[in-house]
Amino acid sequence: MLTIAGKIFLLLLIGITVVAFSRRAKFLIALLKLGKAEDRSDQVGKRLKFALGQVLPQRCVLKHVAKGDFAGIGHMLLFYGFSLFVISYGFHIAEGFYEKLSPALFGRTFNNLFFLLLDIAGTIVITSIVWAAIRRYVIRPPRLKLSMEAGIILIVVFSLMVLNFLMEGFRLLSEETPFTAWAFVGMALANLFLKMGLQDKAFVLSQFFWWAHMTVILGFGIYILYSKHLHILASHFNLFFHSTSPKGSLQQITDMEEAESFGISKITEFSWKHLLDLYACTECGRCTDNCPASNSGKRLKPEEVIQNLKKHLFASANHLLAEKAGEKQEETEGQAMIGEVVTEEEIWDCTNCMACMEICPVAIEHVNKIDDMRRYLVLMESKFPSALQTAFRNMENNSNPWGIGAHTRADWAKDLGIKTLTEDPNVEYLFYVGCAGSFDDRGKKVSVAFANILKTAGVSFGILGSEEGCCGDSAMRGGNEYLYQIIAQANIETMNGYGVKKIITTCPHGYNIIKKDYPQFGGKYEVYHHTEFIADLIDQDKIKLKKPLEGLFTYHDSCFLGRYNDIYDQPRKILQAIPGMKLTEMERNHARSFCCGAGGARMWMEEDVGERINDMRTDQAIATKADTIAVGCPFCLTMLTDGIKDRKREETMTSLDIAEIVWKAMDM
Amino acid sequence: MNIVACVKQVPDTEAQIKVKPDGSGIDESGIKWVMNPYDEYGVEEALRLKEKFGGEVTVVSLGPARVMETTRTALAMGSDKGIHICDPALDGADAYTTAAALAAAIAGIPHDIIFCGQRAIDDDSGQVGPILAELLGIPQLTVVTKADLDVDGKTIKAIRPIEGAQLLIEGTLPCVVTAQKGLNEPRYASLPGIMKAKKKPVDTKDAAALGVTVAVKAKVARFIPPPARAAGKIVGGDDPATKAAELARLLREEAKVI
Repeated sequence: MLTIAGKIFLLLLIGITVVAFSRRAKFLIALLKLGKAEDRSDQVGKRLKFALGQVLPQRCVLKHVAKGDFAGIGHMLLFYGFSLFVISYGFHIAEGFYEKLSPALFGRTFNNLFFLLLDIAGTIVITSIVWAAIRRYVIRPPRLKLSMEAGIILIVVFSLMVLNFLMEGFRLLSEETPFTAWAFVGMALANLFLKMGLQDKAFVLSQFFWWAHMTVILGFGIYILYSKHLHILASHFNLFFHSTSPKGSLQQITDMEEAESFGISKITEFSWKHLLDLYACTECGRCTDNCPASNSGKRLKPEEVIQNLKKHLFASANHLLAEKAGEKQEETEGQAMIGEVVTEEEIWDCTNCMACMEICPVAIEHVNKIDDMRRYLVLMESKFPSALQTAFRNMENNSNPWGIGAHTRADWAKDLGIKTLTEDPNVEYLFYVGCAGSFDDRGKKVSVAFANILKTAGVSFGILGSEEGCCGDSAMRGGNEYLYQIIAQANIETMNGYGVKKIITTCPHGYNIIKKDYPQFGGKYEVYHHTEFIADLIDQDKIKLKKPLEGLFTYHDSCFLGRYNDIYDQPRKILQAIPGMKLTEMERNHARSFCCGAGGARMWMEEDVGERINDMRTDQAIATKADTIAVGCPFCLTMLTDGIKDRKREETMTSLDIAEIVWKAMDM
Repeated sequence: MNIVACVKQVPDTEAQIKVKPDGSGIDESGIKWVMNPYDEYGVEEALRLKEKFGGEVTVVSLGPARVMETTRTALAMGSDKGIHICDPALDGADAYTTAAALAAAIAGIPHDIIFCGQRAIDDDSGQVGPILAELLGIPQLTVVTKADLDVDGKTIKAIRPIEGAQLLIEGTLPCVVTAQKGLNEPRYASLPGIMKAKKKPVDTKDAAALGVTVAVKAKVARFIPPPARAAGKIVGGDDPATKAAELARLLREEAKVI
């Protein structure tokens, strides 16, 4: 127990910490409130379960350990170790005021176990910190940047552990009946100090280190809110408030007729949750490490986008808060969020592949931010890559980005005897062919193969023919929400007009947008991707894969099928069902799959900076020595076919859609 | 500066054109109508002049009610108001009548510079701009890829590409400029632009209101669809030499090109 003066001094220290902490916390919350309102208070139970499920078992950082991301183990050790210490600080302070409030309060065994665990934790934390420092400063993995804050945090946590052990050692030495004998590090140190003849000074030194320890931890408590270590508080909330809308769907712009501005160009136009994202980021760099744009030498680095937005928020904080308070502000030339904080180039580099959001341990929503800034550029400023303008015009005039005459949409099906819904509206399934399947020569072959499969399996299906329109994915992801909504509403009107209930698509982009975004306009359907559907046909024995296929296959997970919709197994199951199938995996597969480069309307833009993303993915496929790259997306098919050409492998390698492979194996 | 941009609505380049069985015109069902691309360059240039000199851009169009959509497109790009000449008597009007109607509409408003497309992609006549200039009695600078006004906005220097060279043409305002591809990259209308365009004033006038008498000078007698393309032929044969010999024979004897 402390002396009266000690108690007063401790109270003073705690007081300073509480005041400084709450002032900063209040400031941080006030900044969040500058953001737009967004309701994230629904499904509290589900949210809590998700957040705890990520944090407590450390799934947030351990989920990719199996893929070689071992840093998560270090994080887990630090997390558990440090959490135990947080409890010990509670005891320390309580004990300072009233002796009995020590772990011994819960009995001798608890006391011993507690200090044993604390010493184990301290040892683990010290080891982890040393390892973290070696990793950060010696090994230097590319995803980590050298930052002063990281250094300070490592030093502070390290010194907290050391101070704790010193305090413990001297305390054990100074007490006639030591408070525990199980604190093995403390005991070892006590013996060492005894040998050093420090017994006389033990009490004073234990007191000294106790105070040093308290000062550092309280100071650290304040520092947390001023540094990137803010994530140890913000990430819990960020996980709790994670998006519960369908994965990868974009928030629809409502009130198009009356609204005065569209998309986002100012930091305060983001919702508070998007600002909380900025607090939660701790610069781990996993997003950038997995971003196809970053990896191919483009300007976009998702972590930098988040960090630069965070810096921008803090830099403009005083101005914005005063403005909100109604104080008159001089028009200061602050940085323009689009152009200076986040460049247009970065905004257009994104393939919307979701690799960043999938890997982010703290549920930051990068893609939504980028797409909202795209919306501003397109809808307000009409500033976007000129190639995209051609695609938009084509979608407007011919309802397909290729710009091929809309009347030729169903030409691929001419000689196949496929009925349109006008001819027979009573079919069970609508095969929504999509633009690639209707206009792209390569895509048309996939449509034919899939239609043949459906016919052989005796599925009752029809197409919309020339009444079908573009799904609108490239318009939406290209920031042209206005065009997307016109397209979507026209399609929904047609589909609802025929009473369509079930839809099959061969394109994951159409699949994703019809399934997740059309419901916002009253288009509610059961949507199947053709790989799901074919897998079912095989299961139900409706089609027979009898012809063995030669060569080695590898399956490329397309972003909009895999990460967006968690369809990983069905395509592989289909391939495995083919006699003699030899299937291998690329190094990056399933959730870590590498984008083909065509998502996010990048299909229609030039790619002249850095390496071509499709070539990089093709190289990854070549590395498996596979003869065939199997895909489930017409965009991926185009990109990988181009990649194979670029790498001059046409003679030995090919890319085929799952439907084409299945039709071959059916040998009809 | 008072700037005028004339726009025509034409079928989209990818639209399927079907001639009516009686040859009196094309079957308009299922056609996607767009702004004539050359007129779009004119509208864009008009807007750039407005941004530079200030003033107003008036869009003048002629045709049935559906043409209003194209007028709104030009307004969405940033034009200020429109005149839509709409009269069944003017349906299928020839270049002269069209130009006369446009001239009557434009004569009634202040005009420092008038932009037209160098031709429309549907009938390819390329006459409306020049006739319009003649009827208004002002200079014409046609098929231009560059149009620079002096600082006062009194004179214009334009570039017209010709075979193997470029002409630098100078003129004084008011004048008619017909736009060629390369003049600029037309902008994409912003969403607020699209929304505002719905409320911008468009004055709809018929021939009588303009005092135009329909006096057709040239009449399209008949629309004739182009002959269907004959199927291609794949030259067979066992080896390249036989194929080449057969190809040469066909080119000489059947196609008679060598």
